[in-house]
Amino acid sequence: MNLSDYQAHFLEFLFGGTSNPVRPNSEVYRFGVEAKAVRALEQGYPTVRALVGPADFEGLALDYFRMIRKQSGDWGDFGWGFPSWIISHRISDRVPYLSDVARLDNYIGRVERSQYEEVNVDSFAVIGEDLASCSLILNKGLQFFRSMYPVVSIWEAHKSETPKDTLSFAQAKRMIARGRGQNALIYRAGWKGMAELIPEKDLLLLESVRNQRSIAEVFGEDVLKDTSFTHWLQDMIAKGVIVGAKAIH
Amino acid sequence: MSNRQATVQSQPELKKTAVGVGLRSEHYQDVLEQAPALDFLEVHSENFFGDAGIAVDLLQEISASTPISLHGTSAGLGSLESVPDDYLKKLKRLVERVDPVLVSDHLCFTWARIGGRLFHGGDLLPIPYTKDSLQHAVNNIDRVQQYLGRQIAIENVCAYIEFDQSDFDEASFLSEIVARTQCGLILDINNLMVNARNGQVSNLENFVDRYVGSLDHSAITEIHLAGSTPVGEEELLIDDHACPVSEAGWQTYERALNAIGPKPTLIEWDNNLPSWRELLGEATKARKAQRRVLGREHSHESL
Repeated sequence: MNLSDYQAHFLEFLFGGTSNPVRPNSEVYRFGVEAKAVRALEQGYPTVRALVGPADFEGLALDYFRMIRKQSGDWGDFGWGFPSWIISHRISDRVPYLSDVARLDNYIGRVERSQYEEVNVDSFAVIGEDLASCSLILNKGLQFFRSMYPVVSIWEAHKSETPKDTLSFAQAKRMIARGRGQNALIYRAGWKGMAELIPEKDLLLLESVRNQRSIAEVFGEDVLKDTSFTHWLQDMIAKGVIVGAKAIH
Repeated sequence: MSNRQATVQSQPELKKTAVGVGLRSEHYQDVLEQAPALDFLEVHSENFFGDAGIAVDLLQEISASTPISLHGTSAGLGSLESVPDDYLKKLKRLVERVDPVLVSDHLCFTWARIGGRLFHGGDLLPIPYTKDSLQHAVNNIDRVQQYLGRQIAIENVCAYIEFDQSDFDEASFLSEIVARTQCGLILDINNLMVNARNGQVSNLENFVDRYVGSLDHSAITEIHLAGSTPVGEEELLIDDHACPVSEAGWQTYERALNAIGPKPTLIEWDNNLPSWRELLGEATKARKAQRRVLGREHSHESL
C-alpha cells in the first residue's frame, strides 16, 4: 500500500467507512477520535445533550461523526452542520424540536467565539431630522431566528440540573401542547452567550435593520417622539444588539 | 529545499532551564487569580483559533506577562496533502496575537483525501519512516515555516501501529527532517517510553541513550514530560496525559538532561486534570531534577 492509500484508508477506517483496520491496533485511534468527536459535540450542544441524555447523545454524535466526518483541523468547528443534520435523523421523529434546540446551542457557541462589535455611541449623532437618510447598525456577531417550538424556554429550563422543576420547563410543555413557538435573540453578555425570547414585532424590526432600511422606513417618521422606541433602542444598545447608526443614501 | 534564511528570525527566547506547564481551560481562573511562578505556559493552538471570545482574550492577557508556547495537534505535518491555507491563516493570526516563544506540532499525519474531498483525522496518526514520507513532511514543514516566517518545532509521537517497511529509524528520520528544514525538535520523553514499552524494548536505558544520541542536540527546543495510566502487561500503554510523571519518567528525563544539557521543559497533563497546585508541584519536580543533574549554577542559567 503506498503512502496515499495508507493515509486515505486510515481515515476511512476512523470514520467507520471500512471495518478493515489499516494495521493491527488501529482501533486505538478510532476509539480516541470517536471520544473526541463526542466531547466536541457535547461542548457545543449542551442543551441537546441534556434533552436526550448522555447515552442517546453519544449515539447521535457518533452517527454524525461517521456520516459527516471531520473536515477542519479545529474541533471547535466540528458540528456546525449538526442542527440541520438532526432533521433527517430518526431521533427527530421522537423529539421534533431537537434541530431548533441544536440551532440555538450552535448560535450561542458562535456568538461566544465571534468578533462581537462594540457600541459606537458617537455614531448615534447622525440621527437627525431626516430619519429617511439614516439607519441603525446591527451587531454582526448576534443571531436571531423564529422557531415553531418554544426553544428559548427549553434552553432556559435545561440550564438547570433539574429542568422539570423549572417554570421554563412547564411553559415549554404548555406551548408544545398548543403548537406554539418562540422567537429567539442570541447575544453576548460579556463573554457569555445568552438567548432571549423576543416578540414577533421586534424580530421584524431587527430583520429590517439588518437589511439596512432607514429608521423612517422601519419605525415611522415620528418615532423619535415615541418613548417606547427610545426604551427599545436603549435596551438593544445595552445588549450590544444595535451598535451604532449611520447615514445612508 | 532548506529555508533557514527565510524562516529564522529573531524570536523571544526562553532560558535553557525554563519550566512550564500546559494551560487548560479548567485552570484559567487559577492563572488569572495568581500570576504563576512559571517560565512559560503551553497551550494547544487550535483551542484559540476562534475569531474572538473568552479563550482568545484570556490568552492575550496572559501572554502579556507570561511567555506562551503554541503547541498544535492538528497541522498533520506528515500528511501527503499540504497543510490547508485556512489552517495556516488561523495559526498565523494566533502567532501574531500572542507572540509565542515557540510554535510546534507533531510528526504525524491528519489530512487525507477520500473521494476527492479533504478530511481531517482528528488525532496524531503515525507515518512510516520512508523516503516518501520524509519528502512530504519536509514539504509541509517548509510550507508552515515560510508561511509563519519563523521556525517551528516538531515532536516525536506515540505510534500504536507498526509498519512493514521503513528506510529510517525514528531518530534518524527526525534528524534528516531537521537537517533539511532547519526546524526545531521537541523531545517527548513519555512518547519515547510508551513506544519502547509497547515495542517490548528490553533495555529502556540503552534505547533512550541511542535515540537521544542520534539527535542533533542543538535542535532540541523543548522537552515534554507527561504521565500515562499504567495498564496490564498484555495491554497497550496509551499516552493519555492523565496522571503524574512516573518515577521511570523522571529517571529518563534526568538521563536525557545528562546527554543533551539543559532544555526548556514542559509538564503536560490533559486528562483527569489535577488541581493547579498539584500541576505546579510537577513543575517543581522538574526544577529539582534539573538541579540534581545540572547543578545549582546551571539551573539558574539565563540565556
